[in-house]
Amino acid sequence: MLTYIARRLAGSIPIILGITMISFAIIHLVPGKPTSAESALNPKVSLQVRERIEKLYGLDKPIHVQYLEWTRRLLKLDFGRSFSDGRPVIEKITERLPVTVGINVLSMFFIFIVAIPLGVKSARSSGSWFDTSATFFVFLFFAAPTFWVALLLMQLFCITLGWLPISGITSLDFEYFTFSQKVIDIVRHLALPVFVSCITGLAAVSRYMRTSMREALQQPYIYTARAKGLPERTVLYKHAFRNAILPIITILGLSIPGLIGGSVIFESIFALPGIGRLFYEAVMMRDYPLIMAEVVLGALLTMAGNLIADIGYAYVDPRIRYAKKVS
Amino acid sequence: MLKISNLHVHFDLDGTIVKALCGVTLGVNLKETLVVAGESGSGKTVTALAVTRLLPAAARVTSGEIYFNGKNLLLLEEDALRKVRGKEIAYIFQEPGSFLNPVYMVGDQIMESFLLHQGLPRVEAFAETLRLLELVKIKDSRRVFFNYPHQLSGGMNQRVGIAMSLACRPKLLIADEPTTALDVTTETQILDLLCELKSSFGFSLLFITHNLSIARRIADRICVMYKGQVVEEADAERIFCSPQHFHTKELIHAYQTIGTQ
Repeated sequence: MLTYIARRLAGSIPIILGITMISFAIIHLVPGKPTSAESALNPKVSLQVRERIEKLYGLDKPIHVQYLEWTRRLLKLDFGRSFSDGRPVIEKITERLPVTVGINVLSMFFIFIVAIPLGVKSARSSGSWFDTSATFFVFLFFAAPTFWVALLLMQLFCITLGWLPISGITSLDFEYFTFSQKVIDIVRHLALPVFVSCITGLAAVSRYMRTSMREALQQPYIYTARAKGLPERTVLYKHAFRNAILPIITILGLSIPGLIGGSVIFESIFALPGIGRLFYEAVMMRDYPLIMAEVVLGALLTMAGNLIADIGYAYVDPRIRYAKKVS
Repeated sequence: MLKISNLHVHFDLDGTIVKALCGVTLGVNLKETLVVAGESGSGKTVTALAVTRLLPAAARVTSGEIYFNGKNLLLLEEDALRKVRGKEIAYIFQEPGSFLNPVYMVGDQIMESFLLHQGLPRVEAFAETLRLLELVKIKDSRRVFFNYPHQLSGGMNQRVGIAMSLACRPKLLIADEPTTALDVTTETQILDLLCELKSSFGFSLLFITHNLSIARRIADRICVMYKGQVVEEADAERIFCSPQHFHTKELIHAYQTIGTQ
């Protein structure tokens, strides 16, 4: 297993290089330069000044030289400094990371906690009123635009009822709170964002669970399990579930890069200092080092997600495990 | 011991009613081997599954009674029925490979019965499982215990299936074409094994097949089913000497034609 993981990790290096190469090329193809944001609209900035700035950032060199220099720094784990404020890129990302990752981990957790039993129950009683109404609601949530749902909920809980704070992740006087008050404060701030990002994600997981569970329940070994006299819960959650879980592992693997993705719209509505907005601002400013750092991070997490999904498969299904040993 | 009388089962397939069984009546006596023979679709498997109410959701028992040792299985509550399943009436199915769960070790799947019905501690259940695997003539029982179904041959899987069904020493074993998916040599071995186990364990056997040569080899009595009904029932010898119903004659003819080829 360890050699398998090592081989996979080694194999992912060229893929990451490829991703960075293409992203590097694309962001340089986009019209506008980092310098244009601060100089193009300002007639006082002369051509010489602009050239001097470009030289300072190394933007006067040909693109492949720039890429090689960037890669060389990357090997030393140096992501460079942000063009916009000169702070190290790593620092800017790590200060934003906890909010985004926190929200996404929480919402993923709740999605799986709710959607899996929902899918199982729907599968067992497919066609019943429970199944039909579950289908109706998960698709309703799925189809409703996030920003609209978010605004409605904010109107209800933050303004009309006044139960929850409307934006940000902490209150103004957060510094003076005791530890338990701090926890409660953060929970109150995160409640709506986490809830909103959950309900849109419910549909995919619960639907996949329902479909694969229905399929598993029709398999012959389910007859064997029932014929043995096992209680229905064991039949469902032991014999059918483990066979039905593979697609869910795929979704889990695919959602790992999404952990840092965040959503610009979403973070803007709730005024959350997350990665999504940072990335958006970086793109608007043509802040190349910051954009590239996020691309690399995303690529790494995608690889990690795939690897985790494959390991998960092997863990759940012995047929995959043993097939790999042979090859 | 088992008495099925006038059993009607209908399937509701998206509004179309299909009558799978139209008044099946048959009985299995203590320690007897009853072979239910008939062509595909004659209702053999449906009858077998109906005994412990394992039919798929689309099937409905519309009338009839199934008595097992004085209990009406069709009226039994779910909890009580679960104590009959596996413990008193056990099954062996047709495709040994697909009737075992692919993601659990075969040993675990056998052990499940011990843990469930007899409440044995795990160590004892493990020992019992190994003993059972040896009873069905699996030599390296320790290795097989930790194997998954896809690592074993069809014959081995069917031995595992038999071991699983015998775990709780059931009074009635229902074998639904247990050798159809196997090659002829393995078939013989499995049949011999079943007969041997039957005399040592002392269960009654309800054996379903479309193959009369198997029926002749093991049956005390034979029931011939045709289009959801039992059309002929008699001692094994009588069926072969003087078949009454035309379908019985067809089955015998089919098996003789193959025999002479």
